[in-house]
Amino acid sequence: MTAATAALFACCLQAVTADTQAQDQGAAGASDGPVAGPPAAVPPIPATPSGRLVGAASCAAASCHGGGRRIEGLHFSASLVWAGRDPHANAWDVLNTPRSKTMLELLGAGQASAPQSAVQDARCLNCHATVEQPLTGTVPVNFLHHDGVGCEACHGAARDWIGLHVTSDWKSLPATAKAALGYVELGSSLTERARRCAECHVGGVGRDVNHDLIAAGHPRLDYEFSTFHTNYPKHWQPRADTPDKTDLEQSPTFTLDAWQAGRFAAAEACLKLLEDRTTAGRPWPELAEYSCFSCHHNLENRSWYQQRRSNGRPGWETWSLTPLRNSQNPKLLPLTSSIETLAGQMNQSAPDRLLVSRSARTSLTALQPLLTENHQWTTPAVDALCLEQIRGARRTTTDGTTLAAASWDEMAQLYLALRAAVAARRTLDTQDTRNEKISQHLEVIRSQLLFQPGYDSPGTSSIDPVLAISAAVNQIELLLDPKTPQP
Amino acid sequence: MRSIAALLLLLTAASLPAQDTSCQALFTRTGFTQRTSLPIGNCGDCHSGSTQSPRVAARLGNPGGSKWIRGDEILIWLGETSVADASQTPAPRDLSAVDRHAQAWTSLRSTTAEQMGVVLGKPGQLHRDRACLACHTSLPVYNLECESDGLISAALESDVRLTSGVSCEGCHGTSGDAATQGADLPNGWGTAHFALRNWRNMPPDEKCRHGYLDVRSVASRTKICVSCHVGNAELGRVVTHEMYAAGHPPLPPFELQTFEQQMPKHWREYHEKPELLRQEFEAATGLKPADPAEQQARELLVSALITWSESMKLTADLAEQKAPQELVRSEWPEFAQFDCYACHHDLRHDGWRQQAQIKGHPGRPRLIPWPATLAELAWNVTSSTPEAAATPGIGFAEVRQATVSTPFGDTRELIKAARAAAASAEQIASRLETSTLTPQQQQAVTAGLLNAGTAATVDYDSARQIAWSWLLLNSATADEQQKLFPQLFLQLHQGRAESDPIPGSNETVTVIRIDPALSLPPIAGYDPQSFRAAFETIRKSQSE
Repeated sequence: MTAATAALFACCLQAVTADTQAQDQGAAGASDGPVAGPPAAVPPIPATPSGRLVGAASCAAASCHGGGRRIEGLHFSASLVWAGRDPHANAWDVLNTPRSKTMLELLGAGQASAPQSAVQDARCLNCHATVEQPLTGTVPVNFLHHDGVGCEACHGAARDWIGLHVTSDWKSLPATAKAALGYVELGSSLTERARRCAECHVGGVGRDVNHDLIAAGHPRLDYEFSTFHTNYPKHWQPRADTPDKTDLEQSPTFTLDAWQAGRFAAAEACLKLLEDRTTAGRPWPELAEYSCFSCHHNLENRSWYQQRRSNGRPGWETWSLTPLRNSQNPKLLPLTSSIETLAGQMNQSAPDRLLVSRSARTSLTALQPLLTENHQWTTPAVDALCLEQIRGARRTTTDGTTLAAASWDEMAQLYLALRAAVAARRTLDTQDTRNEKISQHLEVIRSQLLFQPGYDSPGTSSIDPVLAISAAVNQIELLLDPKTPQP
Repeated sequence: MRSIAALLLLLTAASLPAQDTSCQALFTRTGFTQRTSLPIGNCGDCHSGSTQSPRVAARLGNPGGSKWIRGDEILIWLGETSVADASQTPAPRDLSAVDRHAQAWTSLRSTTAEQMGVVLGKPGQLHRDRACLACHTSLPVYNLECESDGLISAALESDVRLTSGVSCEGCHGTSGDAATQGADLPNGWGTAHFALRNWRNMPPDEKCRHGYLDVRSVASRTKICVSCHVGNAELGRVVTHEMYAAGHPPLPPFELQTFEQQMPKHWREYHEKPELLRQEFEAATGLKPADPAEQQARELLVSALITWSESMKLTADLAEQKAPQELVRSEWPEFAQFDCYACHHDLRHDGWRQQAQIKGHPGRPRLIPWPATLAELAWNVTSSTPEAAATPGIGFAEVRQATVSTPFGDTRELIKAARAAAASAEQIASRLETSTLTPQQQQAVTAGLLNAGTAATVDYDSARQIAWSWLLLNSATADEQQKLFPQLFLQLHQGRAESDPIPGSNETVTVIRIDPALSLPPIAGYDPQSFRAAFETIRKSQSE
């Protein structure tokens, strides 16, 4: 892991920037005229080696998404924002960097049939380019891959819908009809949005940043939807796309809505990935399933650390499942209990592929009904969630007051949850003076979680940062606990 | 007294299988359980004073004192100076000169052990845990009576055979033999080695019949040392990752002669023995001393091959779950068999691990790398001989391949490869032990060390092995060592002073314990570049 990872962590831990709205305004011009639609019947684009993909250029015409016109609710500059400000547009380019070349050399040494270049390696392309279905093996060079993660990666392969999309009929087309053509609707559901991201940012079939890749130099993945969404350069404008004609992003508790949708979407992707990893022939036990820093730390004389795990086995505690495992919500019990069964199996010295595969499936089944849930947050509900996450993070600690048994991942996830919650709290109850205090404590936690310059791991033998974080968390708990007498 | 009697009973009550008297069979669980452990006090009769004592002299059959042995072995082991009579106060002990083996048992009551006990769920009880006692005492621990919690019975707690740590019998063999006690011909070597007049010049194989381990043979000696310093599954001597995680200090890489030099010497080297007795010995055995330089180089190679062989045997035994479960709590993959620092390092941007860009199989931890380092040198030096060329090699590639096919390796392939490697390396070692290195081969040892020292990226433990061997063959002084390889000498002697209770008394004694707070940071801060630079300097000065 290198600077790239550091950037990722930094991105994850960045304080929320105040104003992320209307990021495409810079590219937007003004035009009041009606949209001149092309003829209704557009002949279907013939099948290409890329299947139904048409490429980002197909969307970027000046009169479509590559122009400067600005009409409320429409996204005429989407392609420009994407190409100019969105790192996804560079996803393919990084496959040509020296780091990627080195990775390929390291991974492919001794294998004659291995792809000679990252731009031909399906393992890389499935996330670093726009593909309709995950590819396998060595992939012929295809200029469409140069787009990186383009429009169709998230919105769906467009061959069958792009023709209608440019007509005035598109708006009135029912969502089911659009979906049948391959269009992916992302405006009406945060869960759908989060799932789309999680396909790569957590992984899935054919998209596996496993320990081999990380060891060869790939940054680790640590996806949290609310943070990613906040930091994302938006190529769309506020629009009421939901069935009840409200804008998802105008919800007063948007950050928490996103956190909630994200934790289920991330868990779904994580469990599917685990299920896929149990396939015969894959590396097993897959080390990327385990907490990075339970092994990756210098050997030092730190008795507090040694007491964290008594059996000398790394903990199976994937980043993505932490917010669910911290939950004590009875509605989540079927899911959380099946995840704990899975944890028991993964924490064996030689986890059984078949058992793990079955338990992952059971967990996925328990997860399905939760993916579609809508959450209406009230201040007491937000506070209850915070307390649940705080107490959940302490569940492995014997003294019950510090996070000494919690890993960096668990503490970072707690920080992200509390940060999303306090942002929601600020809009729900603008008068509450506790919000400011909580934010101050969160800033302490954030500063303690940051790695030393030059490091991609906590790299300290001292318990002091853990104690500082624990103290800040205790203060937040005290502020939010309804039992605490308020002045 | 009752406890000793009970112990004797326990150790002898086991049904005695037909005795396989070969030296090979001796260093096995069966070999050990045929014997009875005797208290160190028995040895002290002769070995804790000087050979001037009339009783000692009488037993040695040499009124003037033989000087074949020293006679103050136990005093050296304890770090005590001898005094003429009991009324005199002994001089203060030089703590750094104490043989650490004497502290082996008391360290089970140290602050580190206390903390480990808490983590392992046996607070304050590790000195009763056979998994620890297997290395921290000289006793064969298999038949010690256990209470329901798996700990040895409290009655045994203060038995001197436990509390004396790794004492005489730990390396020289279990000395008693209840079955033949009182018989005309004593079988146990505890009696035989002074009762049999021809003991000194007796061939090792014959001594083995009395339970005496061969410490003259470098191969046998290495096996004895590495049974704890690397591990031996059959004997229940395994440091598991669970123990490390609870706080056991990392086992340092082992190099026989270097370790022997660190040990307070309780023996006389052959050339230090009286000439008359040497002549007698040579006449009786037909043996002649080898050229010292040749012998040193050969012993380096033999012990390296045996260390590799034993470590492969341990890996195979643990992978096959062959270790006795009542002694060894280990499941495969046993992380302790893998390179500690493959995983245990902070993640740094562009650190040396990333720059090294070791090709092939990133993310698959390798086995502990250091046992292969000197063994590879030994193989390179000896593989040109016709006998070696006829063997299939000593398995580096096969073992490596078996560990990378999936994380922690394909268990079945690994067992197969490790067993083959162990057998082959042992065979080559035993042939090498009785042969003589040619001058070319001796030069190849030096050249091989230079090559290994200037290789691209050498891990910390392997670097220590290479440096130690180089310093050994070049008789470097302590100052030179420190100057050449400041990173590689952990100054374990500086350690941390602790007060240990003297077993069976109310007094305490100050000891020096390994302090991980001092010894671990240099490992974390190790930079292969500077190690390589030191060897480049050596190479340059050699070529000038």
